[in-house]
Amino acid sequence: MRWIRFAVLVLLASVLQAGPMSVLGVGRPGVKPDLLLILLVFFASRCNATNTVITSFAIGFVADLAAPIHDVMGPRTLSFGLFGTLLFDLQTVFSIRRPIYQGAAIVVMGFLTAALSCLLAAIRTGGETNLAAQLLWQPLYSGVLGPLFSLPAGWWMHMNRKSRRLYGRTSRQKQ
Amino acid sequence: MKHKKFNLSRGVLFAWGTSLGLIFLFVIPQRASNRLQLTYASVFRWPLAWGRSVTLAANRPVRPPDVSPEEYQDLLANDRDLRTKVANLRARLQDVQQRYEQLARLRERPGWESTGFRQAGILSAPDSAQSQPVISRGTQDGVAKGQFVISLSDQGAVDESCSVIGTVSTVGAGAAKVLLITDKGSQIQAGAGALSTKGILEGQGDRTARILISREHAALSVGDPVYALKQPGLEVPAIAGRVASCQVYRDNPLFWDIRVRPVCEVAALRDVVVLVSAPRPQ
Repeated sequence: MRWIRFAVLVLLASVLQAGPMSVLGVGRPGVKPDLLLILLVFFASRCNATNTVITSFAIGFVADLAAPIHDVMGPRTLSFGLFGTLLFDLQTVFSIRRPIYQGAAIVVMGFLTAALSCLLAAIRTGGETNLAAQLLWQPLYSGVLGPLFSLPAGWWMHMNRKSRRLYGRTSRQKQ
Repeated sequence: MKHKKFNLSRGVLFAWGTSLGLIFLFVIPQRASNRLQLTYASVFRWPLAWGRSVTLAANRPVRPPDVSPEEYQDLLANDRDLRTKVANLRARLQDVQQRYEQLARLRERPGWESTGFRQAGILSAPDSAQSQPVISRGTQDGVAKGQFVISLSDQGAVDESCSVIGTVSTVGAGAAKVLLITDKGSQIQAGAGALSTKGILEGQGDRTARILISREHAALSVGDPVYALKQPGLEVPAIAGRVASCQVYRDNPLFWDIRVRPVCEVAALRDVVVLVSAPRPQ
């Protein structure tokens, strides 16, 4: 795993998310694809178990920094970490490397992470969120565009090979 | 030298990450979280600002080819001005419509069809130093001394939204002062309860009014309505206040000393209505 490239990619995604992604905004509340959510699914589908846990929590932490819900730190770290790890485990059932499955995974992960994040933020602050935009439209939009963003991300991370072998040290290599 | 690697199990990493999230969520104070987010924003200030400018540039309407840049900027400025003016006019229209609806509701009340109304804004609300509010209507609007002034608001129950708050005491050309029913010197004919108990409602100057009623009548309960009775200047009885207390009058035990609080808080009112049909004789 190339961690410096990973850090650059995640920070770049957070900066793009805060600014230029608004160009792709659709509708009244300005729904735009969530790049960090796309990266979460991307790394969960390509990394090994340990790296998936690290990348999921790290992406969630950056999401909390760049686009916090009600200015609270923590909800997205927890939700991204939890569901990123679960997504990795689900790959034993089906592969999410194919673009259609990857898009579907982004939609489902978007629903789940947004629901948990909003719930945790509401527990902490008691504030209300635009749930329709957060839970429905943004994951759908991200799911449509997600597979497209995965290509340049894979090129940057050198993770575009076609085999299903996961990136990172496997148990056999450890021995 | 052999490079040593840390071998942490997935479970340990997950526990660490979860703990980090929970600590940020519930332990670290919001101020520290805000500082962290601001640090991120200041570190990435330039790319964020660049991204913002890119977004604004992308959302800017495209200049037609036959318009010069200076003309285009002028047109954009005019467009902004016009949008602001339209928004202000729209707000004013909504305000006028709201007032019109309130007056229309007032006219629909039985007995008030032939009454003339002058809607007036409250220019200065009553306070501890100046008890009489000033309204924005005067002699040039037909307002005269002694006319009744009623509230115009959505306060209280439906029947209480138009309650007598006082009478015009001083009139100028474009403004007038209102003597509230609770002000010293205010006296209006009033009836309490079922209107069978009548008396003079006198302002006490302490945000209450008093009405003395013979003890032949039963004692009133706290909260019972007190009405300004039909009299010159007021075509139909209208609620003025509610009973705050009912005790035996100390100076003359043959009377009930009934303290009355006004129905609406005058300090919270924005508009009132002056009944201009007939001035009340002084």
